[in-house]
Amino acid sequence: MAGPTINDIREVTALLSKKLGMDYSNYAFSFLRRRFAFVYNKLKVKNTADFITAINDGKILEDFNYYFPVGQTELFRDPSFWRNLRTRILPKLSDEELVFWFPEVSSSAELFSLLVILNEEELINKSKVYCNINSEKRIQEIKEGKIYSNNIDINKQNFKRLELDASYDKYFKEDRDFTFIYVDLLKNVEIIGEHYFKKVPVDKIGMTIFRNKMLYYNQKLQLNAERHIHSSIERGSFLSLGIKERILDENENYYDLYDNGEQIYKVS
Amino acid sequence: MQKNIQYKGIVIGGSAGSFSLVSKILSQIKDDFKYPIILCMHRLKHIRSGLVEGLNLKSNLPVVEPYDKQKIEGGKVYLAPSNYHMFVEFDATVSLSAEDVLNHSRPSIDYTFSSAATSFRNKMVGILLTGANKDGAQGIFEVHTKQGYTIVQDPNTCDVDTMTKSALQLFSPNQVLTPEEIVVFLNNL
Repeated sequence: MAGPTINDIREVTALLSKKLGMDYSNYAFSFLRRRFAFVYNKLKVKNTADFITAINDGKILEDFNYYFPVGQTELFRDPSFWRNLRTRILPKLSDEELVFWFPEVSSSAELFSLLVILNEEELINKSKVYCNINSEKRIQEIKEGKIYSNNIDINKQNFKRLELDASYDKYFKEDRDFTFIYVDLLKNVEIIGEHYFKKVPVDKIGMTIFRNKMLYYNQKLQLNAERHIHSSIERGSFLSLGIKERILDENENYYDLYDNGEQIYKVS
Repeated sequence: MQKNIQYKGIVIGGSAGSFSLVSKILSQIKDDFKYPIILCMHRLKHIRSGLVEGLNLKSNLPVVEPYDKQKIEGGKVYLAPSNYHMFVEFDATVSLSAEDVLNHSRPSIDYTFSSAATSFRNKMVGILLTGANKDGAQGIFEVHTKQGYTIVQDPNTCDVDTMTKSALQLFSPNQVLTPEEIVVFLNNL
């Protein structure tokens, strides 16, 4: 598990920040060490020197954008969150606020989970879902309704725990290592092909789903992300984090805790 | 064991079957134990509650499932939450992760040991308990290579000895102890 060294990480993050116009230095150190080792492995890069050469050649930036962010590895992770969304949050959103925002889509699992819930509640036709994604390969996968999945049994178990009337097969089909959702459900999804720090939706957002994304940030980046999202959405709209994430104390005046178990906040 | 060393943390790893053993250790540990205990146990992904409550019923120290970026404090037990990996950071905080499973496990004991070894180096004690797969063996080996103090439960006292035997194939820990001896060791720190 020995990954790149501290100096490797400093060098690579500085270069990536320059090339991609995003600050990569404020992720948690242990995460960067782990994640760069993961990316090197995926890209078949032997060491940091080779990685730097490939970045400078411009060959791997798209692949980096695809592999670096951590996606959910299962559909309907934390079924109780999705049950609460269905029974407690959706009834509180008016028709004009049925606008959802995923500031960082790094796998389609959360997006597809939301679309199923909206369809079951017969709300999908009047909903709009914005997704910030900065990988062309990921965008293409989403347009095809495709998600890599080695956890089909877990997906099905999670779906069962939603206590919906519908069956899993109504929405998903499996083909080798991939799960496919019926693409009709994607008709009201609008993709923003840039990082959420650079571009945000123009609509009034009813709910922002940002679960388990700030786990990988250091304190400084989390502070900035919470404030940036706050400034991008309206007072009274909902923000959901992962069940083991919390708004930082420094930002407690920006959000009111709405559901402690599921870590859902309201913008104040 | 180095005398008079100020440890930054005690890290304990075990599989789901180690629950009764961990309960026993925490019930017998002295209530003024000054070090933090970072506990990574394999557990069911979809069961969020029950384990921490069960341990708190027996433990002499408060047991919490930390939030991401929570500060690590002495005299408390930090239990890796269900379906998250748990890491120890340089600034003595916990970080969590929803990255893919490691050794079919999330939380992975290897990850917790490895990060603690990097952050605490020789100022930690790593203890590996009974377990049914090899997750944890590589991690406690990293504790050993960074001069942390290592204890492996005597495989003869394990319900399942796969984890402990995997570790003993990699290196020779500072001590191989029975559960009773582990309690005595901790209370003498």
